[in-house]
Amino acid sequence: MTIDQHELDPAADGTAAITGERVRRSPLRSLLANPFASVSIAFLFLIVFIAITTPWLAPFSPNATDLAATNAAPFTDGHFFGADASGRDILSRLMWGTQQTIIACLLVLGVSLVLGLTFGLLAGFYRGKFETVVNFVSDVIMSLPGIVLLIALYALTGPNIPVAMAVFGVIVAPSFYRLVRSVVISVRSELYIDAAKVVGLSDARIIGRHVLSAVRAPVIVQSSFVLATAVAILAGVDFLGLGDPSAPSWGRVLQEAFNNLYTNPANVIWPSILISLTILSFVLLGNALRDTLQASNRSAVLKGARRRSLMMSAQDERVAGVNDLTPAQDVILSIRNLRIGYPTSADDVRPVVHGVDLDVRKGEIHGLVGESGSGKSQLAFSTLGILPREAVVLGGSVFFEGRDLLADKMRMRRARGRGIAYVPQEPMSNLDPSFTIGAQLIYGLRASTGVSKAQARRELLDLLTRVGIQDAERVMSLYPHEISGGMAQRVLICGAVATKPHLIVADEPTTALDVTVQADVLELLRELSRERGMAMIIVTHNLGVVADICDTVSVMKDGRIIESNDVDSLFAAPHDQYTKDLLVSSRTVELKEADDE
Amino acid sequence: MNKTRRRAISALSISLLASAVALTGCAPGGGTSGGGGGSTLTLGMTADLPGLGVAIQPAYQGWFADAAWDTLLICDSSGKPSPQLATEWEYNDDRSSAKLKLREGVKFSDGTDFDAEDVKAAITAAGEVNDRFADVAFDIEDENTITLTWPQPIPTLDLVLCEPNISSSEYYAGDAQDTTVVGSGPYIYDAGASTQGSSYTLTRNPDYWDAETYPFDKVVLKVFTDSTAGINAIKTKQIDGILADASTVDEAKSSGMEVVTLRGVTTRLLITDHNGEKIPALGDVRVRQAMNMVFDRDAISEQLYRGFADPAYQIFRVGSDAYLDDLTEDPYPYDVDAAKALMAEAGYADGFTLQIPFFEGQNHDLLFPYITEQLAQLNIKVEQVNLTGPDAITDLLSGEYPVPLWQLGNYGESLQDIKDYVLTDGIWNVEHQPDATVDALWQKVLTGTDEERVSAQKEINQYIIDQAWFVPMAYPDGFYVYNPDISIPTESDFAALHPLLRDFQTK
Amino acid sequence: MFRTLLLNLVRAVGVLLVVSFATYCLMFSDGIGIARAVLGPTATDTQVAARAAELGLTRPLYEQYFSWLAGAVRGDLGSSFLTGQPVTDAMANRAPVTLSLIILTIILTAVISVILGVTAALYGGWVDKLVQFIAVLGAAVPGFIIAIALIFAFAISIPLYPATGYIRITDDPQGWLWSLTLPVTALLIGTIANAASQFRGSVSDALSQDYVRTLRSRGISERAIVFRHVLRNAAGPGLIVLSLTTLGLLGGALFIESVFALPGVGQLANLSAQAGDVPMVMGTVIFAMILILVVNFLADLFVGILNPKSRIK
Repeated sequence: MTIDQHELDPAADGTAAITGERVRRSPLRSLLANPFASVSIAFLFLIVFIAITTPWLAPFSPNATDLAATNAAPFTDGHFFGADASGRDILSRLMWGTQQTIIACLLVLGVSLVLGLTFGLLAGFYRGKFETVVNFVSDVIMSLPGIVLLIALYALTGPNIPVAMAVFGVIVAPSFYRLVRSVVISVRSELYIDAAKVVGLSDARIIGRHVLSAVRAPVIVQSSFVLATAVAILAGVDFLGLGDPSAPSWGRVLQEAFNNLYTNPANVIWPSILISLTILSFVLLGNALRDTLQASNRSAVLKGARRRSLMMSAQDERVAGVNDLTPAQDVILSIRNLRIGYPTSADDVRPVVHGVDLDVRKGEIHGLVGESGSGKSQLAFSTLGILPREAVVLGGSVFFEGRDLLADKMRMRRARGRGIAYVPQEPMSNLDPSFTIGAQLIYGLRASTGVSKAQARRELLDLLTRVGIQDAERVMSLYPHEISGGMAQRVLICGAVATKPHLIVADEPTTALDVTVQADVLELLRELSRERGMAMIIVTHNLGVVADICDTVSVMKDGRIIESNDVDSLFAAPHDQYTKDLLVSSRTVELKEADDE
Repeated sequence: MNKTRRRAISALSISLLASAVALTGCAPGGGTSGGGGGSTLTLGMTADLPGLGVAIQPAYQGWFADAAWDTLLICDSSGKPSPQLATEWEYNDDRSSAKLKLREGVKFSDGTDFDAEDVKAAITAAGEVNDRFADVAFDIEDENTITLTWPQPIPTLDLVLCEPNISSSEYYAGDAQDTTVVGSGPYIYDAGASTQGSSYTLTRNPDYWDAETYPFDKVVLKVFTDSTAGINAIKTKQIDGILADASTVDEAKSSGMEVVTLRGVTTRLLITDHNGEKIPALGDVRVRQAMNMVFDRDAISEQLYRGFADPAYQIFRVGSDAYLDDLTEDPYPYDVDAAKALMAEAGYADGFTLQIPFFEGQNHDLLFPYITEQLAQLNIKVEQVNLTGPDAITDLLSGEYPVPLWQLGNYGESLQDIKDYVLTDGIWNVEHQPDATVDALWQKVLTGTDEERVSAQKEINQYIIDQAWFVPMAYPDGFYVYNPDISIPTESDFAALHPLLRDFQTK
Repeated sequence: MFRTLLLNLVRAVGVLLVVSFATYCLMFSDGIGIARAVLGPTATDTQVAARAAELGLTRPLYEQYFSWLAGAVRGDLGSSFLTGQPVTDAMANRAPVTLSLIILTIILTAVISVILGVTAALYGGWVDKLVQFIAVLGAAVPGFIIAIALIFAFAISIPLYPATGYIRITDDPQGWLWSLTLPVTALLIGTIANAASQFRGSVSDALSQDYVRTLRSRGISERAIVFRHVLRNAAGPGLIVLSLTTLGLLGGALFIESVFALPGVGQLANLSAQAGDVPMVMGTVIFAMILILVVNFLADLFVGILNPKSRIK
């Protein structure tokens, strides 16, 4: 059987767990709201109920033979699921087998949990040599051919399911270990543990209070998957004939039916269904638990039909000319009544940008200021049509050089690169790590201009030198991880400018850079804008940046532009209270920074 | 799965060896070539050979040995000998010694000539792994005459002489016994065309003295560790014949295969603690009789074996010397109440606990629950002891478990049954408790005239029935299915488990 | 990169030693039972003891292990206790069966899961739903139950395929494929379930990378982004998934070989372990470990080639 790797691979969910812990509104209730979860839980309760009550409820004892009923078909009198080749009642045997399944599950879970949790907590908390040793042991265990080990064990102990399941617990323990360790390491590095240490809490209390609570959610999720695996492996071991032949078990009932396949094929159905349903319940429950306990990093997905209808109505508006205008001669970009939303469920969308209007004149450097979540980046992305997948444009238009880009996909595509270019916030993650700088730049330039390779290369070398990169030749042959952040941002600016666009959208172009480099990059942007007569939108939360290079500034709050003016006027006489607060706080920060230096 | 292991043991005590090997399973099956009669005979084997060594060849599915080696004598289905490497033979009065005149002009496949020294070497080598030949003394008169002498009388001397395969003394002296095959048999092993573990090819021995008996130019043996795979192979005519079981025989029949039905085994409980040394209750004959009375033998044959069996009232083969022809009614008819009364009379109404060993895949799983259930009615609590791993057979025969359940061979020569199952030193009489009556009757067998031998055997049978030493259950059918392009006119296997190589003929 | 590969190799050899020793310890016995099993019940106790000594089973554990190890290093894995067949011969017979099964499965898994996973990640919709459904199904239904269901459906109810057995590719290529169809299908459902949803995940991850947005903003077509950049960057994680899947197949093959009576290494491992045939079990363990080694090595190698960070300059 394939032990599902992704279920046992904790890395996938290790870090998400911390955020999951923040979901505090009755997880049980939201779990039960999920139909898969509630049906699974009901089924598992039924299994437990059967396990407990079998001695009273089972129609027959597990080994009671009725020679008259050998190979009885399902639904015959007294034998609801039929009888096996020895005349034993299959329903009864499956019911009796339930007990063994549950005990085996608890054994696997218990052993793996105790080992995984203990070593994971210790290794994650203390690190060092201890962690190295435990990691090695864990790797060795994970590379063991588990099922072969169980079979070798059988040669030693004979059919001894408890021992086999305990050993299997050891075999799966690394999945808990790795999960717990990675969570503990990330929690440990978070501030509150340091704070706890300062306060003088003992290690034991820190582990108990903080770490355990952080580890709880992912461990519960993982447990569900481990239980699913335990049911499967138990059935598998019994099916291979390694179990106790005198004790009824699901796997053995299946094996007996399989051996009797030609005579009474229907008998394989019941144990197969029972085993599969039980595993399915644990898997579905695990999935539901993951969704519930670790939901915050998953965004809701809108139903396809709903998304289409929203997009249609936005398009209808545009066709109807609701947003039409005749912009002033020197305006290169005007945004009209732009509304953007994000789904909160399959049917509902929460707007984050509420009908924004914005004009950018040719050659103008326009600052877009606001705190995070104010919608400024959404606005910037929408001008290029590069909003995240799940975002929905609910309405409005983006006129670039007089034409509505949102109305026509091809128009938007043509505008990208040649008309409007983009400078991202985080330089390192915006270069494809698999390609050299030169390859990416050349490919990008050719994609939108169609110049020859040699021509593109020549132009880019010049431009790289222009943006302040010495030895441009060598840099072209480097991979992104081989250059510094500041250089990467210059490369990205170079890539944006190379196509000679009329408008640059720069999303926090300096935030991720060293303070020493920030000023240089801003200076570069300003110079390029002047030289080439490019307009520019600079998205930033830093009023200092605005003061440095912007001609005009718009302030955004809660998805609306609340104030727009030229820089000097706005700094001199802010109208809106929020703008005033923003200015005050930024000055405070500046003062503080000055103090620190 | 279990089917893999479920094959072999369906029987056999002469080759419990084979069963041991069967437990280990092994060997890939498959292959497509050949088949369909003509000059090549392709047979399926449900278990791999235990190796190539001459001394460890099993009788069960022993076609490889049939082909590669000769024996001194050759026994038919009732154990009657005919000449093979020995052309004439003479026993002394108590059958402890045999004088053999050997065939002349026989050559081994290594080119050496067959003579008395080879017999000596072969029997000596057999003695290293087989108790029966451990203490044989040799007297070589000339190169074609040898006398073998055992320290004690051997009533089954015919059978014993039919047993060992003979290789050349050079072979025994060499150190390649596990990897080479040297024999004088009708076929010669072709190592180059064989893959150990999956297929074995033997080609005709051009010098063989009895070539007519073996019409095929080539014999190929293919291993199918799974019964279903084997049946598929015969259905598609990849092979000419293979053993089948009750669950697969219909499948083979429906695709036009011929079937030989064999009755080589008797399923039984062996109550070997007759003196009650381990479990006092078993020392009381009434308890043993009561244990016989709780089994509905007709229902066992009809239901558990789905009609592919007859009820067994005695352990011996129908028609063998010991078989009681007039025993047509169950001597212990199914009567739980009477059985309970007997138990009460014996003072064991409360029963006792009985550990019965269980082997995975030995066809016990069908019967075991029923036995447990029925004995429970006498308050005999059966504890199933699962024997596994390499020590399983040692444990089974150790005497630790006084009442084993097994499907054991019954023989054309009932002396063999008595030796294995009834005598004090019988392999399967696991408690090995002496019994004066049996010993006295056995003396008659050893010393009496032919008639006395027969009647003494019948007396032994009657005695063990009266004493309820066994709980016979059924004579289940064994099946050999074969391609209608070949024929199997005779059945020579003394164990009645399958045709022997010489039984296979062209049409 | 050589350093990483070398390091992994050393590590793997270490694991191999630990595992082989552990298996040896687990299987260790006094040898009497094995000798009895070889000779049968007619042999006397003295004969059995002699045979046990002859097989070298009366020596102490460490001595047996080291003599096995010394042989193994020279490529001599010894002979079966029970049949005397050289272990290397048995492996040569059986490895092709298991490798056929694993290689066919992994190739099909790669092709089908890449198509399903990439389509699901790129276009969502019903393909995405299908992938999610298969993922749950594959996780919920153990391979051997799928195998039984397949036999039930396609060998017994509708007799299209052989229920059991193996045909060597050298004997009959078409028969070989025929005999492996159901077993491979049984394995595929489990592997695709896992791999397709993992591929979907890694393509989604690659798609949500910042550089994809930047590439889009440059006016590069969606098609070029996916084929040139996204797939390239999803390939590394994808390879890891495939290598893990291959290793998972080792265990899966054991069950599948049992159900379909395929004479492969898994079946040999099962039967030999139950019979205490240590050399055979060790042979199967070595086979498994070598396969693990090779797969990990290849995965490291290709990931290294794909990932410029670990590439040698």
